[in-house]
Amino acid sequence: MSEIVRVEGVTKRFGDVTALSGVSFAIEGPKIVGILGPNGAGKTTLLDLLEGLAEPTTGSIRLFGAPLRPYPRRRVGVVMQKECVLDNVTTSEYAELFAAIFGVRGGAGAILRAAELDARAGTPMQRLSGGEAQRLHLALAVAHEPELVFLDEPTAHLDPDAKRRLGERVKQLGRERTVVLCTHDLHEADALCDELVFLVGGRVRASGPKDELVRAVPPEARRGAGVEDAFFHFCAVRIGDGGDSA
Amino acid sequence: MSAFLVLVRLRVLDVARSKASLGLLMGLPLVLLAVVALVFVDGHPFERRHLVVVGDPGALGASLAALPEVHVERVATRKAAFGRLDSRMASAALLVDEGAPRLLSSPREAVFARGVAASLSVPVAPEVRPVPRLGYVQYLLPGLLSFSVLIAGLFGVGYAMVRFRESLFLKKLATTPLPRASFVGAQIVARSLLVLAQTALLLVVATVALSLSLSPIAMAWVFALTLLGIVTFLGVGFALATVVRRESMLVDVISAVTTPLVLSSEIFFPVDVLPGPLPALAGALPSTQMVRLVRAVMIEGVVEPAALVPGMLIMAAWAVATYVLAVVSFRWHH
Repeated sequence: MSEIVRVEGVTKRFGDVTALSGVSFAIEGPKIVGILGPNGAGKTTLLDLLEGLAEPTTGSIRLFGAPLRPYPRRRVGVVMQKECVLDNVTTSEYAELFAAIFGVRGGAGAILRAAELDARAGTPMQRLSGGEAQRLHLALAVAHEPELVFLDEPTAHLDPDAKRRLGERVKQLGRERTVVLCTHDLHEADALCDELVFLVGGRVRASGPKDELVRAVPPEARRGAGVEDAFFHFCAVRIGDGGDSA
Repeated sequence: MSAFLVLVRLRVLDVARSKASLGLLMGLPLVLLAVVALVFVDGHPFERRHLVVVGDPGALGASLAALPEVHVERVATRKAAFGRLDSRMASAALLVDEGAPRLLSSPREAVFARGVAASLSVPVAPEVRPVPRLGYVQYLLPGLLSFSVLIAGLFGVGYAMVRFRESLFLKKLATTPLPRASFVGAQIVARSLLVLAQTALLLVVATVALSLSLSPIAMAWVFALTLLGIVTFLGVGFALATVVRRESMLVDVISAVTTPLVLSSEIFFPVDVLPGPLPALAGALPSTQMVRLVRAVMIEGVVEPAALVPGMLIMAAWAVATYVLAVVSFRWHH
């Protein structure tokens, strides 16, 4: 195992609003790490910082043991919370763009095969179903075989079958690379994640191996629901926490 | 309250709550009124007659200077003078470059030419020169070509950039190692190819329908100027898109920019007779330079680089300035 991500004392402010405050944690890989928290906890802001799309106000982030700049784009893959859909662009053309950017061996065809979308190559992107689109975006994110993958709510709005198929793919990815998964789906986190980071009001409430966090829930708060018990225990928002800050 | 009224209220509030939208909605007509008033304060530019002179007018100079409300301009060659007569840019042409002075006008301007002849200190018999029926359309053609390039530049990339940003395409690309220069360069090349095709189509139609006749070198110059124009206006579009981030707002801003540009770029009428500092300001615009350069090539047959380079340098300066602004303020996402 080697250190993949190290976040130290990161604070991010947007004007008067503090989205993240003194966030620290480290991730060794390969494994799947879930970032959990209620709406407005700062999860997407944290991912934006980790993906190099924004700069922390204070604190530092290191990826693969090195500072964030220059950002190691070829070693990182990203599925955003809301992925773009272009008008008048086919699935194959979109895949071709990312194959060209990353120099993917096998080109667009390899990406479409990985996404099980060979038959939908000529289909305009906007006509893909939610599950198909997410499979495409996941395949694009890992086409260049990155060591670190960020997934922001990849299974949101998917039907159960699509969610299961995507979950299996994420599980498979986590065996050979580090996956940082932001999700609201506690069952998904339970099924997929090795480690968890609980974020509330821009602060880390708890982080560590999933099993340890689940065991840390006091007996009176346990309902036998695993990660769900841990979530409600660690993410209980108390007045003054500023849970709506991000 | 009925759903209809609620929808009306929501739509009104949607605009009213955005200071920028409200400002453009209320302010744009006033700004346009001010621009129109400024441009046309002395009447329509075509109300003032244009007389072109080829050669040194010598003793006739004083007579020409005394002509009331006549804009006298020297041109280098008879070809340029005839081009202006044919395209209705000039009402009459005084030829004093060789032999006895000659004063030519189109049939419609014969009365004006007789008036000019009567005012000259040396007797000159006015002559009528037939001009093509579609001459004014030929005058407008370079303006329309430049207008197409202007719109393609402002909307083609500026609008596309804002749309890409709103659809998160730019944010997605920001997560990849794609260099900014590749993205920007690809947009420029793609749009340039489309505009060159558009220009080719326009020239083919003009050749067939308007009897436009261009030499191969003149044709090459038109394409070169079109290319410079599209690169320049794409730069303006890029710069606007980096400053204006909402799609709806960008459309308003481009409209607000385009209308004064159209009125002050010689697309439909000459600007050299406009009042005050407007001619100088208009002359500094890339759109005016493009119109003048394309018009010089297409109507006056100017193909000498020395005559075209100064205007091209003004366009290039705009291109450099706007690209620097765009690159400095460009962000993949906000």
